[in-house]
Amino acid sequence: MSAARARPAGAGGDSPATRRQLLKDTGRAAGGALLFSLPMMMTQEMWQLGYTMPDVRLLVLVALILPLLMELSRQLGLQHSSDWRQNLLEALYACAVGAAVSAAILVCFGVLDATMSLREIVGKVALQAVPAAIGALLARSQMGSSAGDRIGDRKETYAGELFLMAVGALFLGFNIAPTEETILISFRMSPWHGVATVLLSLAIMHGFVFAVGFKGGSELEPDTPWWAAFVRFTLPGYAVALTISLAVLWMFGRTYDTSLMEIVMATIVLALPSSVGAAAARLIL
Amino acid sequence: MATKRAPARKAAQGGKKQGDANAVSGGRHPVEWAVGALSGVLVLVLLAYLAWSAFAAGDAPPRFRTTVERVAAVDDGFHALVAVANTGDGTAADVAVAGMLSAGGDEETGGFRIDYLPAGSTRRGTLVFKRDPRQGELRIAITGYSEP
Repeated sequence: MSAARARPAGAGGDSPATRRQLLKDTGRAAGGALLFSLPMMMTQEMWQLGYTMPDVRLLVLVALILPLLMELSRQLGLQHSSDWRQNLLEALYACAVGAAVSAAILVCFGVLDATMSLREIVGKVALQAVPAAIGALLARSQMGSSAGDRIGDRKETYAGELFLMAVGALFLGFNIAPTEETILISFRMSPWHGVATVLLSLAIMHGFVFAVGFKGGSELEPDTPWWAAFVRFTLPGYAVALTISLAVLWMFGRTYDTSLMEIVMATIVLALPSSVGAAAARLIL
Repeated sequence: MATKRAPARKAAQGGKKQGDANAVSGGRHPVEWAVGALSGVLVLVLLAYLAWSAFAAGDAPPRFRTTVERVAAVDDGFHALVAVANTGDGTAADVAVAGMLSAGGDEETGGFRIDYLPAGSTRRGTLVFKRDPRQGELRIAITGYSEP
């Protein structure tokens, strides 16, 4: 890890090398932002949510994303220090790149134009900037460093593990929650379909936990009995996926004036992709 | 947590025997077991709720209850905000809501559609009239819906 990478905002002087590095970093971040947010930019529900989402919920989302990005930056070990200012800088940088990429694409698609109210423009960009910023941050860790630099020598704590699961769940959940199909599927399901979906989600997650856990080698020793891994990682991971799913549904207004049963079913439906995201987080992140 | 786990990992890397003892006994992960147990309870409650509702829920078709929540005078007309609640057991899609207003000897109609109206839930829409619905007789009817 070079010194220049540690200063995304170019705080470290004006030499041509530093500037070139900054440009390269920004390109990487923009690429990651595109990769992670293009599917959502081409989803009409996401545009609508930009202006139908209540101000308070949009504010909650934006207020949560900054600490989330900071913690993600720390977890990914972008800085080998735990200096919160570096992480804040990293998070702001990701947000800026995410917002810029979102705005550019939305303008190209004609989703944003000058006739729209400021609230609508801000809402649309802010909403798309969330996955884009996560992508921007990930790209910097993913493409920027050699394999040994990353997860291998990172300190892995249980809380950190659950955090990464939450980010993975948030990412996939965010991708799918805005679509009408999420609730449509839940309307078509009986409670027994719900039971089957819960069990299937757990089975899929456990498969990932095993595959990934053994690969990493630091969390699960090869002779850990399956039920121990199930209780320590799979169940909490699924609980995280459920919580994130419910939170995303709430933020997107899917829970308003809706019966408990329908909220539970929609949460279970969304928790299937979210749990895959949570379990695969260690592969992706 | 971090300080506790670090030596465990070193042990696992250094010698396999030490790692075994820790992993199988689980004594080194009290927090993890507690979180796991709590999550397990959550999942069990979820499954129990689903099983309960599978037995408790009937299969009555969607039933509708409409209420006029607010009438607002807007420019050259009146907007009546109507809440439609589904009191049946099934979800209705594409619910057509029609309002017939007789005021001052004249008949007037308005309508809107609701994309999805899940069982036990409420959705809202607005009927638009030229005359004030508060001054006349307003009848609201559901004229049709489809299955999702």
